[in-house]
Amino acid sequence: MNQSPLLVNEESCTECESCSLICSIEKTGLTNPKLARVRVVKRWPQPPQLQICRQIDCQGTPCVEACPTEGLYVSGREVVLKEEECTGCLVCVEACPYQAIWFDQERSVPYKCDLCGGAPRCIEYCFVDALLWQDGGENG
Amino acid sequence: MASSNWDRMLRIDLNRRTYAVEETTAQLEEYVGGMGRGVKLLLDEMVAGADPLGPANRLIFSTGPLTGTLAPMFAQTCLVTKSPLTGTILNTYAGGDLGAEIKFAGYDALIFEGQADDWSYIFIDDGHVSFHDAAHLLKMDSLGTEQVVREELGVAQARVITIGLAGQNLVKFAAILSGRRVFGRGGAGAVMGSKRLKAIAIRGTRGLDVYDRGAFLAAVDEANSVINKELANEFSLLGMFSRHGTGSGMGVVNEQGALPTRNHYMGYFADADKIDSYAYARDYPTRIISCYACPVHCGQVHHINKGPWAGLVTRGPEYETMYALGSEVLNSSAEALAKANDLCERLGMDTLTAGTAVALALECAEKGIIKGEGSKLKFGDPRAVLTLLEDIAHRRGLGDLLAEGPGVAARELGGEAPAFAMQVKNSGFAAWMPRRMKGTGLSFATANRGGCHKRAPIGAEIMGFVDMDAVEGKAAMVKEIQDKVNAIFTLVGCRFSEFVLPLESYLALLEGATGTSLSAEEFMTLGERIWNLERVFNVAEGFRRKDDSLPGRCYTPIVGERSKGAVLTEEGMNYMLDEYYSLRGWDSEGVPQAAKLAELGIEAYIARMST
Repeated sequence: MNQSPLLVNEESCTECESCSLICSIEKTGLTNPKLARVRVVKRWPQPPQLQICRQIDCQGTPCVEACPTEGLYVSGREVVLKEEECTGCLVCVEACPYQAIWFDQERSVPYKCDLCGGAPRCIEYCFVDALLWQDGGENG
Repeated sequence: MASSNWDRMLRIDLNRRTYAVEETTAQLEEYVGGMGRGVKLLLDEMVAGADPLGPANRLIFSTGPLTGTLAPMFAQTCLVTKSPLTGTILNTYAGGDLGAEIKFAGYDALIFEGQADDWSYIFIDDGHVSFHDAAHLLKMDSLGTEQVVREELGVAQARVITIGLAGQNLVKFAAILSGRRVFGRGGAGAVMGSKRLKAIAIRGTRGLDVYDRGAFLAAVDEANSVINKELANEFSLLGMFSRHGTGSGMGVVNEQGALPTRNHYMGYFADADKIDSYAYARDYPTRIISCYACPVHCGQVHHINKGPWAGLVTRGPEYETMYALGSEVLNSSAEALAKANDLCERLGMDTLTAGTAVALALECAEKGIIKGEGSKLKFGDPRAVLTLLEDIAHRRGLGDLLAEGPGVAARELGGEAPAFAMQVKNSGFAAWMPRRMKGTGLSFATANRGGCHKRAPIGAEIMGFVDMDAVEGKAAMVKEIQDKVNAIFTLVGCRFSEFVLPLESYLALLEGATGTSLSAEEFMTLGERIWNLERVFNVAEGFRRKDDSLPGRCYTPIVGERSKGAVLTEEGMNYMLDEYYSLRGWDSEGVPQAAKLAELGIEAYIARMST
């Protein structure tokens, strides 16, 4: 079965936010979870919500459905966001069931997890397997 | 030049309801950050003898250069103020994610001063600061306040610092809550209460830079590698804490007859295995949580799903609380202990000093020192503990006296009570026994903030790396750990990081983050300099050798299993203290000598001690 190469397990998350920090460093050069493409929303006393794109594991890929242009599409096991096609209408931000698409006010573009081109940094800093990289799958 | 420091502090005046952003001076930067910055600021801004509950006192929330970065085990925030409990300078710490948010708002430190007539709460939203009326929050506990403040501000993810009823009522050991994390020691909550400040909310959206990203990330990876290697060993302290929380060591301490039990009368608690971490994990659903950027995840959330308090969810209790509200008062009920822990959080009180104050009351009742209604109090009755905790926070009856701290209360109660009030400088003992662990006893006695376990050679003594019963060689160990931990607290490293990270690791992280290059020797000297500055502060408040002392019980043999007869002699204590003062370059009264202060480059403070 086709699966996202990035497995998300909220139950295992201990809320250290290291995934967000390395993500924000990787993508912006600066540290702040509010700049990251994976975010930990604490929900005491329950395990946190992990806001990160589930790629093709997301049932029906509603962001792709909602996008009025070709700005979001499925490619292999990934959902790809193509900035050049984006008109900044934000329907994808609304449509995402994981609240995992954000809008960059300065650049007027949405952004989300792009799996770092196949080698996501967040995996390296998650020591409790809340984020796991799984090889394999039909396209893997 | 890029740096993880902003070199900016936010100062808020509660009298005028004004705020200002200040650049830090080069002189202040020599103290690196965290505790160093806080101590230097308080010493320079507060005259000797000023009322800790008056407008002159400062609440200084001080982050370090590694706060908010990816560096592991630097999540805590340091708070420096003058303690209303001890009258000394105080530094106290809360974990979680508060410090990071302060940094993201664009500040290295927040300074609160003055005293308002009316209750308020404050919202720090990056560069914008707003003052809000808080009269309607005064009936709310700390955790409820946090929720309401978030709702009123419409900012779901803001970090919120609060006080509870104890802080409002100026209980001398009131705490400040940061979510479920606590600035516990020394009564900072009463200082916040005296300023009529109910809560502080913070949101920061700025990204934090570092001096040299490549070097910094390499230092982070090295630190993570060292930590993860330690965590892989399930019998190491961190390995245990990581799996089962800080209460996992309780059995080890108990087997050595070093677990303070029944107001430090005994060193062995037969029911320890009913209230330790394993008991909680066995009987109640448990979830593990971390502080910010920390791979150790020593936090435990327990869902108490049965018994009289079914539905209660607590973070912890931590080991220290398992002692203070458990073994020390002969409480064998994990559920009642969880309730007591939760009550202290909601009322906003330090569990340690609260526990020692309660234990004092129980023993005074038993010995007939407390008469009337209070004489019915007895050990082993958890309901009595819960009632006393409420009474302290409400300042009702006996609770009003206990709210002044165990040392003060014992003097008032009279008789032999002061001999078994387990405190130093009015601050309650942490969960360790000076009769069993002599170096830790010396640490308690000499700690600048009173009864402190954070700068004690606990690991070395309890793990058996040194003979815990020996007095020889302990003065040097205590001096070294005090200086070292103070240095680590300038970066605001977690106390537990000292168990695992080599000094070089701290220095590599600091250099990568800020470009500041320190040698190990300079780093240790920084710690010593701060320790001496604290001492100067305390000497100017009148503290001398007589205050570096332990209560009489420490000089009588331990009773009961495992450690029967273990004792600290006055001779042994004086031997350690003399050696300690000598190593410190202090006179026999514990006053820093001019030559020592000059050697440390802080001779300008000699004058303060003669005022």
